[in-house]
Amino acid sequence: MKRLSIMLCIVLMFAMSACSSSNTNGQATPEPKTETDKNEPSGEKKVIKMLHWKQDNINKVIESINKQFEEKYPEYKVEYTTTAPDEEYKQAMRSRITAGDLDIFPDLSGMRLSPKDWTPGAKVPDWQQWIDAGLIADLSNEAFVKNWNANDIAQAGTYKGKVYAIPAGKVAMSGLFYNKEIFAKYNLQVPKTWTEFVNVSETLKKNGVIPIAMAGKDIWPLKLPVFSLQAQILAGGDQSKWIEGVWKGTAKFNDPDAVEVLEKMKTIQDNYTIDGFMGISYNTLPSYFASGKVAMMPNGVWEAPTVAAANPNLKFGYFPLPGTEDPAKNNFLVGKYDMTWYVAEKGPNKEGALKWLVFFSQPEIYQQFVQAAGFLPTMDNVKTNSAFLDNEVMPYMDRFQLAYEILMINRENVGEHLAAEGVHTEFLAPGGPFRSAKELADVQQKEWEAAAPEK
Amino acid sequence: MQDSKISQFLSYTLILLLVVVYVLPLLIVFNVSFKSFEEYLLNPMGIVTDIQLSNYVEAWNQGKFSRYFWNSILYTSASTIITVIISLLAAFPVARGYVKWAGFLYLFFIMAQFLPNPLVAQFKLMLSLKEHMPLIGYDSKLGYILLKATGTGVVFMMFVGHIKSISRELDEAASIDGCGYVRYLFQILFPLMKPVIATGVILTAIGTWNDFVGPLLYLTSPENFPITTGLKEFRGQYGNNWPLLACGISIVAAPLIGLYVLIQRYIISGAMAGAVKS
Amino acid sequence: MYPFGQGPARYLPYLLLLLPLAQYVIFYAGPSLFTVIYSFTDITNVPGKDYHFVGLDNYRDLFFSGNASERWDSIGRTLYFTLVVTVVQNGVALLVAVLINKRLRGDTFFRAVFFLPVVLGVAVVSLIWTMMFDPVGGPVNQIYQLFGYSDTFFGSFEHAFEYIIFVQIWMYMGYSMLIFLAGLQSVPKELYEAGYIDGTTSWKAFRHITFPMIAPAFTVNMLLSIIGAMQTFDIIVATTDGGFNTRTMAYDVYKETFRGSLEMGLPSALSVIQFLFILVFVVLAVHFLRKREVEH
Repeated sequence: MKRLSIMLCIVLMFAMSACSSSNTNGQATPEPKTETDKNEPSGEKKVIKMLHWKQDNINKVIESINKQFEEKYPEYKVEYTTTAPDEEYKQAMRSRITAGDLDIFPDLSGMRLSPKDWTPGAKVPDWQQWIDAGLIADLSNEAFVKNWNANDIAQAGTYKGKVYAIPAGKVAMSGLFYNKEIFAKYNLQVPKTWTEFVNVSETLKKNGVIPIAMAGKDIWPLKLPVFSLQAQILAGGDQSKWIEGVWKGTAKFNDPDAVEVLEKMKTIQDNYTIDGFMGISYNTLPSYFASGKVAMMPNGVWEAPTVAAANPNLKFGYFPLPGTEDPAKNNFLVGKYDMTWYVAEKGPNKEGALKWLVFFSQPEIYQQFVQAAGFLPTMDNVKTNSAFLDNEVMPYMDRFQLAYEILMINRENVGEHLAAEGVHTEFLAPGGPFRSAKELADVQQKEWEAAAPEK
Repeated sequence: MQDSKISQFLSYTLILLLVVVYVLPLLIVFNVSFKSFEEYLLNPMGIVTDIQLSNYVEAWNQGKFSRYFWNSILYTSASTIITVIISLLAAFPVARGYVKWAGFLYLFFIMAQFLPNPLVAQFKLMLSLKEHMPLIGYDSKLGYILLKATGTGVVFMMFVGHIKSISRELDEAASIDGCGYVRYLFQILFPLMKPVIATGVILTAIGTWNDFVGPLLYLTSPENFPITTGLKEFRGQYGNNWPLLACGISIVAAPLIGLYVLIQRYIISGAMAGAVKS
Repeated sequence: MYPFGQGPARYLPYLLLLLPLAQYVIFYAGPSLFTVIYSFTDITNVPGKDYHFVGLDNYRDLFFSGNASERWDSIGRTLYFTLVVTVVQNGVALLVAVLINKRLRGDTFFRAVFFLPVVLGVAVVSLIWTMMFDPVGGPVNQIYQLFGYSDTFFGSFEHAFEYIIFVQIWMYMGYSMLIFLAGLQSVPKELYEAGYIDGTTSWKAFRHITFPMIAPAFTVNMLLSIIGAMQTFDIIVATTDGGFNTRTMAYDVYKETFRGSLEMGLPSALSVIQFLFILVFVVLAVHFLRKREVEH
């Protein structure tokens, strides 16, 4: 026992010394910290606290931009913290905003889901609560806002006539990556209708090629191809009208068009997707496609740099999932604004955060970002510099639409089969408990009605 | 008590079967940790052919373990030591009835095991401490240590149970020899409590060392990150890099296994102390 | 009689008791009480926003709104989880403890091996099993495939929860075993010898000699696993993160507190409900088990 206590003491002393040395540039003390970094010549640095989620290509370019920023403004130091994506990021973002422990952070999409006059009792989104509580800086009068495309700022960064956020890019996410060599080998064309798509998949299957890989373990990746079906099929191709309809009671989740969406997704999941896809997690998905194990992968265009990095020799293209029999109706991509920057009003260093955003808003800096991120630029005169985006994605962007999850506004306390603005095809058999699309649709309609606000 | 050969054989078979269920996953992880990523992709489960010791170096660097390791050592040792000390300060007078309402205090303390989950208010508490006493508030090392230390619950319960089994006469004999309260606790009682203390140490250390939920909420600055953060670095771009992740697992697990091996001979008698006597 | 002096010295124990008391009240019991109070308010996590008492609104929202059926589902799941974990974990642990107690060769090794997962901790254990249960190329699925079966494990609506239960039991069985073992070792050997002379079979010996003697260990194990199982959420966070019908009450509290809406009243109310469930179970278990202890 003596040995143990001695050991513990030694260890504690070590740790204390390690701790106190790191405390010199640490945060254990309250005041806005004056940092002395041994590698830097000297001087006091003002820390800008930036939070982000882990996504390798984007993290790298932001780190490089931060470095350039620190070179230009040596008085600042950007503390760039990353968490796991999605839920964990949302959690970290929330608690750190609540704690006043952030200066600048991106949200996962542009402003969305704000209640409308036809949505009585809808849930108020976090960003709106934060703005209403005065936690987000008003950017309306900042000169750098003018660098950005006015329409994009209006759509994704403006609330009650004021600018609060800068969307750092647009993404398309309703299409499928396809392996051009495999397609050429079996003499396949990019499908333009649902029947053609089924035929392509059948041909692949007959030749022993698994047509599709999807990542069911994380659930949300299954939403991506559904966005395409929803935009093409709901209310004959007008999903905004359909969404207003379900609020007003003129459209239902178990109407034929909504059931058709679920059924087509079920066909894809059941017949053409790799066995065990419900156990595949999103971060392993690109390896299935990049290694040539499958011919197609429904995914957002943001994964193109990852796919290219995983297999530089791979020749791949991208096409919208065709949901109807009319090629003209299938000929567009669906997506959202991605990574929208907010500056915290009450963070420890708002001034520094604004300065960073000014720096980021310069066309030559933004150019670096958008190229590495694989986003479609939201700044005029900035090029994608990506053959993939220019040749494979841009042709479908004239009639670009926002995705269902961005347009839909949920009722508060809606059931799990409609939660998170989705229709949750993971609940369909064989993975899930519902044997047919209709069964799931009926439950969805029931849950939607049950969540209606009391009169 | 002689057992028949058959029953002996059955016992061994059963136990060995279970040992396989317990040891095999660990061996597999260990095996994978030496593989190159390519070898892992080709043959994930086969025995490693080309041992990559450099995996550990790479994992250590990529997981930034050198930065996080000492933080976790600090959190774990500090919260463990505090826990043992304050549990002793609480358990002795309660077990002996040297304070009024000892029975009530006992109940009050062991209620810690099932009081309503305090997550919501704890978070608000840490935030308000950050405003008024930043040294022990949100995003401070000390605040997190105090949050993880506890003078109540299981460790306290075991201590009370064990102290009750130590004769009262010892207290009296010591006091006649002129031994004071504090000296008695730490010089005389403490060595007698090795088994329960060892058990308390290992249980508290496990709780702090492996905590991956608390740090996400209460330790947001990179220089405060604990070792479990390192494990997240390998959930990478082209899929989980299992060989590196397996190294990470081994790195995170090794110190506690070491501690366990060091004090395990005390643990069995300690585990029971609270159970029988309280 | 307090032996360590009278007068001012008499108050030393009180003074020192303030330390644990302060730690407990400030960091645990206090927040716990506040959580109960918050459950009757519309408090949010938006700093500076006022809050008001709203009576039982949060409780009503829990059980009478659009997603009320999910609450019942997760309560049902919690009870199932608690029942299976408590029974299987203690059953296996008791069996292993009895076997090891027969002084098998290598008993120290066995003991250490079974306790090891407790030492590894949830973060490491769940990573290990995520790897074992990798649906593509993972070892368990390879074994399954020998039998013409395959599974998506933590990504399966049908089985994910069962796998979580398995991992939970795998992880904590050693702890229960250790407590049983300690109980068994306190049983005097003479009792058995007396029994064997009378020609008692080993089952009878177990039923009538061993079991009553380890009743206190049994009680402790039951309580620890009931309370532990009802409060488990970290293993769910680390494996399925609540997907595939694996949410329990404890997971919901965590999820609603940090990942649901910014409203904090609802998760507080959930915590209170969870507490009431645990309380009922603990009271029932103590009542039942203590009665048995006395009977024997």
